[in-house]
Amino acid sequence: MDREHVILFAGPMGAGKTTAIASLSDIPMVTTEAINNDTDAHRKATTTVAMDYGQITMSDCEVVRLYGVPGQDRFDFMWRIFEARAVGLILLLDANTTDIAADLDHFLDKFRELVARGAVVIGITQTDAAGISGIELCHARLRERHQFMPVFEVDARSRDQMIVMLSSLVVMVQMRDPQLGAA
Amino acid sequence: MAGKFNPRASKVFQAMCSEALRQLVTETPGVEDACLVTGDGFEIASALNKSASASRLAAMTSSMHALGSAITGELKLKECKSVIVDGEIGTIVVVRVPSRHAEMMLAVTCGKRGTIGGVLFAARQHARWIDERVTATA
Repeated sequence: MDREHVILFAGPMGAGKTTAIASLSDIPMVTTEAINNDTDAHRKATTTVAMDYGQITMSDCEVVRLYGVPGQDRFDFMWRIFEARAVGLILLLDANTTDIAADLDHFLDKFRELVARGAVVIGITQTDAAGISGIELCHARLRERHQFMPVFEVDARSRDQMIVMLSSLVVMVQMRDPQLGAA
Repeated sequence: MAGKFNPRASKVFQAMCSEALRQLVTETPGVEDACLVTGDGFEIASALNKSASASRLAAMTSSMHALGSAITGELKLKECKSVIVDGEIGTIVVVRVPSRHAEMMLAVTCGKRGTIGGVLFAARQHARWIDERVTATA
């Protein structure tokens, strides 16, 4: 039986959501990029203003639909639209941010409905430039929140690394599915 | 993608557009609200009669146009010129401002008194006017 999973990529602006989906997708991605006028928030030239869409076939009978949403709060209406469809969340965080724990709190709170019912993994990007362990900071914050979820350090440009993270999430989704049961 | 003029950095430009949108709303039958926004979802100028948040309307307008562009690109229909959302008691029309200097969209809402054709015509006229002001300012 063919299985399809809808996975949502969320996280702050510049964390690498669009790049990650581009790395994973087997099909040409749908993107909705616009010129970034808010260079105070981030220096990147463009920003996603509606959604990214890609797709990856994990096995002969398993397809994962990849949706990326904008990182800025002013687009939170897009978060609600795609949160309702998703069974899992990949939360990407930028290791270069001034307060990665605050970003973690913000997005876990904003997506609390999906966090409560679905599977979640956290990916920390841009660790090569940061020189600090985002993993340790995130683990510490998750302990304080009494939440457990896998945390990866990943390069969003690396398909291999993104597949490892996505595969972990898909296994978690499968374990939560009463029809599929534990593998 | 359009070039380097930042419409929100020019107070003169914003003031001109605010006045133009006020005229659009008061002089076009059926038009109730108008909002000029950047491609990345910020308000440039608005004339709103409804209690809607200009900042949220700006973000939604940019998203709607971006999705329109995605689907016209996917179907090889070239650029998305406009998006029309047909509500039960009113219509929202989003038109792209055809500018080489900045990404902008104009959202116009109309109630039952207006016709979609009339509102679309007025919105496009004002979008072209805005483009001319950008070209003169940039």
